[in-house]
Amino acid sequence: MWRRYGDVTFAVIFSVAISLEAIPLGYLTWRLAAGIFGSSGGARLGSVLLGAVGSTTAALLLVTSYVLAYQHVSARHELDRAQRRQQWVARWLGVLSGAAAEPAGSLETEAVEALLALRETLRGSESARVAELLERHGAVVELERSAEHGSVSGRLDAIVALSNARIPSALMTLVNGVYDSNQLISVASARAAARTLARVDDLFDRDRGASALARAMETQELPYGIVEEVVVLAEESATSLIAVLLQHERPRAPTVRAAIDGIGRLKLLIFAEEVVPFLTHADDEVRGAALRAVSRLGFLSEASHGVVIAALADEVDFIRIHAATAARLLPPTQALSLLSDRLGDRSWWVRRAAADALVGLGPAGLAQLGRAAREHADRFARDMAEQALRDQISNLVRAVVA
Amino acid sequence: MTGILAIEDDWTVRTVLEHTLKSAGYDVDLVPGISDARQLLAEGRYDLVLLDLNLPDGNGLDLLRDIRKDLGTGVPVLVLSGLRQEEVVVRGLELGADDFVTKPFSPPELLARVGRCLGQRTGR
Repeated sequence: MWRRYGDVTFAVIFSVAISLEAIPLGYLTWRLAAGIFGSSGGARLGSVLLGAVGSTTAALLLVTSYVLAYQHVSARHELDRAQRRQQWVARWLGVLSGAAAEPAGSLETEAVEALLALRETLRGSESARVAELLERHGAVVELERSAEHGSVSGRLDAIVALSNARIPSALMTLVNGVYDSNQLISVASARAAARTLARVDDLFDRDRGASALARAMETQELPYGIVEEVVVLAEESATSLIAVLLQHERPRAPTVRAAIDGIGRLKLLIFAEEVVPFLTHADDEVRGAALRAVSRLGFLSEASHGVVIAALADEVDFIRIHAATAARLLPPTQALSLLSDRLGDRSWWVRRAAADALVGLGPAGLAQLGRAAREHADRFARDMAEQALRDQISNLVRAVVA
Repeated sequence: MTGILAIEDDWTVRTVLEHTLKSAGYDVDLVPGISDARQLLAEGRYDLVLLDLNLPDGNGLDLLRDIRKDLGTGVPVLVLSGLRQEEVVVRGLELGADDFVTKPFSPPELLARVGRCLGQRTGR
């Protein structure tokens, strides 16, 4: 970030330097071309050549001097700013504890940055008071304005600041940013909106915000990874967001997948039944996500046992992998038998997932692995069972030694 | 005066810790990394250690292990951890951490946990 400040100066200096080189070189080229057709004197060409070399040297010196000077000045500048921010943090802490008076009027940049840093660091009533200070001094309105207008880098800076501030009143500005045609702005706004949504306490406002954010993400067709990140960033508000994403009239497969993965990652048992229909979804990725969620939630209804058993024989490798992991939730006897069968799967990854699931079943699973290592009809199954048992021994040794 | 060593590299968190603990009457030393902390801990003059986990020169859990093993002090250690670090919390407790404070944190909660750790030590 060494050119964070001074883009315009750098552009001007660079243009001057290039001109210093380009003009004499252009003239030289023209004279040489004329010489080929027999109308130029050698001495004059020599002097032009010397001039071109001289101006190139001057240009390089100019650029080098600027870069070195800039490095020095910007390092000092950053240090000064960091010190001022630190002073402001101390001053704001004094304000929060009642030991110092609140500054009047609008705030300098470092004062706002200090408040944003405190908003990130503090929790509870102190954090709420920091939010009040940001709003009272007009910092939030200013950031919202900067997030909507100006250069892309300026807008991104403001969106990140709002993301750190997580002020509920700025939520709709951020949601509107998701509709931006610039994908950088759109994605940054979605992330910032999710973090802000996490701080919306009023349930009505939370549902309304979640609905608006889900609509914006669907309209913009944000990719799976971003939607999943947004769901996780929404923290406490993720339930509202997931509910809206899954209830959407015709949700895209990446959206459904992201919502289901969010259910699993955040261990939202409240959605355990909502996951079930997706275990038989037409899209392989969605089915895989549903099986993953079942494993992460640790809940498999009896009605879904057959679906998981069928998935163990699915044609798609990664479905069988997730099914093997979920199979540990089947009744123990059934799980032991089915996972032992999967130790002989044609895919190494499925064999490994089955072995890991058996390990997860405790002593009975380890005993089953022992039997498989000795008696399984498939050579690869025997190898995998033996390997899994060996790994357990080394894990035990490591745990004891540590 | 009760002495506390805070090992934390983030300048905002450092300032908040310093302000909060000094306001409550504690004598606080702040260091940004493990190597500085080792030197001060060797002097054995602290009643409590506040330890961040992600430090620029190593993992706080390694220092915690050394405090309990090599540095040999019975000093209470209060670990500062991020959200959703359940595994780290479990590992820290196994290594002998007395309590955890999750970042972002509330200053009153921090002071309550510090007071409890110090009280437990006095009660031992």
